Amino acid sequence: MADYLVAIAARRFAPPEGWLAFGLLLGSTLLFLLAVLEIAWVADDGILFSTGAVGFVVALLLVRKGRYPAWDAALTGGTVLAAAFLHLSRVSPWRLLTGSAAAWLDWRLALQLLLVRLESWASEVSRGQATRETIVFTLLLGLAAGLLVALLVWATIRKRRPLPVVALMMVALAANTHFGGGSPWLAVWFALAGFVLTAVTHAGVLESRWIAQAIDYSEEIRQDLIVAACIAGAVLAGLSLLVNDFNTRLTRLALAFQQSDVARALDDTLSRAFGGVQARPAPAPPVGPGSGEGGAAAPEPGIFPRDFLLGDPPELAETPVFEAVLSGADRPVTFHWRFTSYAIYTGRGWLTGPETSVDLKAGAPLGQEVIRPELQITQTVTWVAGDTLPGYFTLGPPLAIDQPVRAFERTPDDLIRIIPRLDPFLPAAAANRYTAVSLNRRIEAAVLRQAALAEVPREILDSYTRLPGEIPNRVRRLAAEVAGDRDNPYDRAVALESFLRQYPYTLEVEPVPAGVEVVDYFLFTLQRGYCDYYATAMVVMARSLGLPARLGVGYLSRPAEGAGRQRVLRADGHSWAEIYFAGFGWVEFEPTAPFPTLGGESETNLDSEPIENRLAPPALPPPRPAGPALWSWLVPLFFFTGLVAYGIHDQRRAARRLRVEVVWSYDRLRRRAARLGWGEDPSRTPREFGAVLTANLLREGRGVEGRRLHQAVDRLVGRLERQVYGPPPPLPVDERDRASTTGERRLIESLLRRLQIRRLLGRFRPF
Amino acid sequence: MGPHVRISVRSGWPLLALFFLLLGAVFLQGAIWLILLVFLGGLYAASYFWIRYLATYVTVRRTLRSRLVSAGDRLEERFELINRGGIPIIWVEIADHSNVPGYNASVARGVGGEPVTRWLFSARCRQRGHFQVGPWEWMTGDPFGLFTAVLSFPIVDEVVIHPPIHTELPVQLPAGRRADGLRSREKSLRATINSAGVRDYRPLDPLPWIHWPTTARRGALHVRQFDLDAAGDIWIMLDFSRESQLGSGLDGTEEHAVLLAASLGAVAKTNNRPAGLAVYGREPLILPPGLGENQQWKMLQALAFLRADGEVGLEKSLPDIARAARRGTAVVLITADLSGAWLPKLDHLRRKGIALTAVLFERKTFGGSGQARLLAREIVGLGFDAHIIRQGEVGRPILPERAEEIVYRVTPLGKVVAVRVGADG
Repeated sequence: MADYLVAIAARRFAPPEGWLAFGLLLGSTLLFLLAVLEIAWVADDGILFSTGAVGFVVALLLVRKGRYPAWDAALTGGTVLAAAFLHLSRVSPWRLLTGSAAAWLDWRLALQLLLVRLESWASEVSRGQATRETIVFTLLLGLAAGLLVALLVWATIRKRRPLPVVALMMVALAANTHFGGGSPWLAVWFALAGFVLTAVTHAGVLESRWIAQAIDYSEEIRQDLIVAACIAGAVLAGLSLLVNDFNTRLTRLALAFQQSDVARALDDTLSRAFGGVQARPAPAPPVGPGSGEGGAAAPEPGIFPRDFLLGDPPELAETPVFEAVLSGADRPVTFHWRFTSYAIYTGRGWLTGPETSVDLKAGAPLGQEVIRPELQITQTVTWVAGDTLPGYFTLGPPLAIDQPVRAFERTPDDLIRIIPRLDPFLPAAAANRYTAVSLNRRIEAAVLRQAALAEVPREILDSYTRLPGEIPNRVRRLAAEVAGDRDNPYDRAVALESFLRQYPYTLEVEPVPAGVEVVDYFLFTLQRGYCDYYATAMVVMARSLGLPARLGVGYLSRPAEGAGRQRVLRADGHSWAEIYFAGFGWVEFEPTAPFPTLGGESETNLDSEPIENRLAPPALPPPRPAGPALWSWLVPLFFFTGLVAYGIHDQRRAARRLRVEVVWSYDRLRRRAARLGWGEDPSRTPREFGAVLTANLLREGRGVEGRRLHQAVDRLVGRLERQVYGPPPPLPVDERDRASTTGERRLIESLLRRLQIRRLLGRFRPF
Repeated sequence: MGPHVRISVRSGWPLLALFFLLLGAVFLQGAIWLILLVFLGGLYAASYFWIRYLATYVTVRRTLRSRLVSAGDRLEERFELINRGGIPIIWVEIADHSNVPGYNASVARGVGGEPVTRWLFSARCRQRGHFQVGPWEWMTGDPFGLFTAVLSFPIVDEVVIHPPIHTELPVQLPAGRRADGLRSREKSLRATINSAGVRDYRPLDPLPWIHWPTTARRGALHVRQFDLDAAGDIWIMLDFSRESQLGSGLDGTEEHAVLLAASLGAVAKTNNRPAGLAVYGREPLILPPGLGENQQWKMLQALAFLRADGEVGLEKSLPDIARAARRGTAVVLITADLSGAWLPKLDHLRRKGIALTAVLFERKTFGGSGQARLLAREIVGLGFDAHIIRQGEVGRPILPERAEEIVYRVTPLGKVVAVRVGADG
């Protein structure tokens, strides 16, 4: 019964153009999307699947039912665009339809984030600034992928001529691979699948025409076409890769020559002879942003770029940045010279998000109420990095600065950073020196434990609990496991901090692979790193628990050199996590392993040892590292294996259907015998052919068992006569007969083959 | 005239992509541009050379077995495809533009790497006439459908399809009388009512022919020798005026008349009777009576080309035939004209002693009106003979429902369609 239902369902829902063509179309689409995904242009590149799937399905429906091409194209484009927006706003229609108010709230927050990012991109572009916002590029990428997929479906099913679109997609993939620095393999796989799809479609076109013109045709042509296309495509793929390899070798050879003594001598001679000719200086190689304190790796833009977060160049050296003199407090409760904070995490890096600015006079209060003097610390900072002061660095939240400033905030009373206001009359030396007063309040842990999450302002919650959709669930699960049953935000934050501090610290890390979410990669795969990884992981995990968190960046405070004086170096660049507590504002946490912890109960000083032992023991050990991802190879491999298997199966089935096994076997033997010169008489009956075959084999063959051969030939010929000249065989065909035919055919064929080889060898015999 | 080769590109848009890949490979110097350039460019180049090679090294021959066939017989051709190159032919299509009704040798075959492929094509001829086999062309393509090569052969073979012959006829040949009234000098190979002598017995002579008195008298077997009947010429006269015809094709009076005339001519030849043909179509056709196989072929060829498009009615043609025929001749008049307006003209025949057998088509059975029975009674009343033929009574020359084989095929879009293939060949 189940078989029957499956057969009915398979027939009912079978694609009209056949499973092979449909599979190739689907496979080509997947390979195309995977090739783009391999580059991971943007953090949210999962949009490719959303728009690609929608484009595929909508085009599939419209090409069969649609009648008005302009309307169909508009509908497809509109649907793909809507899918892109829905994906970016993280809305799941199913959840919205069936879900609770929380689902609507999530969606509202996500939509707000999307709009904020779009607005941020638009404002930066309109101001003529370079932007790192990728939302618009993501949107365009998704649109392009969806439309190209829809175009491929349309060209295959409606026009029956997919090659132009396949070629267009090849150009797109070439640009994708070239500019994204990806591997060419997926593009080559795609091209191969596209070519086979072209051959399959071409076979369909031919058959349709022949049927329409009532021309008798052989159904084997389709299989021959597919096999020929596969072989030709594979040969061309190999050839193209070989040519590239040859080209690479030539390039290497040229480089080796350029570095040889002969070439250098020639270069020197030319330089001396034509020294007056000034060549245009070669452009400097692109310098990737630093990878933190060591600059060990050069990740792609947007991933923890030190120059991005701090404005410093990537070479983190022992160069002094500024000197500071502290006064007004015994010792600071924070180790961070805070500069700014980031609010929007994209999965690959950080964005500041939209902000407003306000200009303030020198000494004007910076949004904090009057604080008692014993809770203040004064710092006089002299910027020595050589260039102009980029902004004001303070130990703790700034209260006032003795210069006219421009303060940036996200929401009212949410100060982000402060930069100098240009005063043309101020001497440069004075402009690079400022005195700031900041809050140096120590908050006890017991007090922070009383802070309720419900009392956090709505604006703060909205801005600092957003996470991109591509955060894997295992990150959220891990955060929840680490937090355990702790019931207050502070303990949860400390648990996260102590958990992350188990990860070993190193500056020597490889760049984050393309298309991988950074926190997930750090927590489960890399499992080591520097401050950016730790701080980002803590912020993301805290946000997944509902805690408002942000990333603070600045410099690490150096040990005092005497009289409260300290010198901060470029190598002190640092980032940390900040969590908002109702009634107390932003509290810093230090998840990076080798640095002292902070928080409300910190009583450390800069000379003390790291205080891991003062933290609560971590709730969990780090998870075991994840294995390498093989999907990019396995998917096309499985696809083509399946294709080949289908082709073989289909060919065999067709052979059985068109010419039953026995006829096919007889034809095969006749062809083989013809090569030996025995089967050329077309008027010979099967029985006569069998007799000739037996006699010749017995005469010329060695070691042939006569009785067995007679039996095999007799049975085969008898079965052929019954099959061809007798009444139709009862259905189903007896499988034993077929197996027996195959066995007999193989026996005779092996004898013929042996004889043929012997004759061939005989030709080369010297005597 | 030799074949004309035409290679056309079916899909040119990808060449634009090829151009962009070339630009990328030249100016951007990336590996992927070169790889895909070689891939796509190689596809075009390989496909073109494949097709060029096939167009150069593949020949197809087409040989017609016979140029003279009868309707209902098979017209047979032999095709031979020779591949002198080593590249396999995935598919080859023969597009036949012959105008022989029911004959279309178009076929698509997968040949593979076979050096010589032969096949026969035959189809039953449906309609008499003069037709052309060809022109034709064969085409092939690469596996990806990028290029198509078409070789056109403007060569045409002429084929004459004459009407079929039926021996079981509802009409007997009229006797007629020789003009001189004497016995025929030719001996008959069959038994007739005239026996004028005996001869020696030869093996295989029928035993009833033995003349026992002579055998007893001479002591050796002797058989009777028969003379031919003293019958005269036979004129088969067809009324091919356009106005009197009914129906079309095999079911029309025209084809019935031709079939009847051809069959009567064959019977006359078998009976050693001189038969002639008189047809009054657009151009009057007069074939004087004659004996033998040659005369029969002449009649058949003449009948193959005939069309019932004449303007001359029986009122004018009957006096003509009366003038042309000798005294004592028999005329078989085949007509669908039941108006009776031509009956007075029969007087010309009677006056010359010409026997007439009128074969009248019952117009009702052909979709018309009129009473053949009444006219036949009048003709008999005038002293002549008359027969009435209904539609289908002389037998159909061929059976179209058996002339085609219907196979069911699944289109690439999943539809099941019935396709008539092979014209039962």
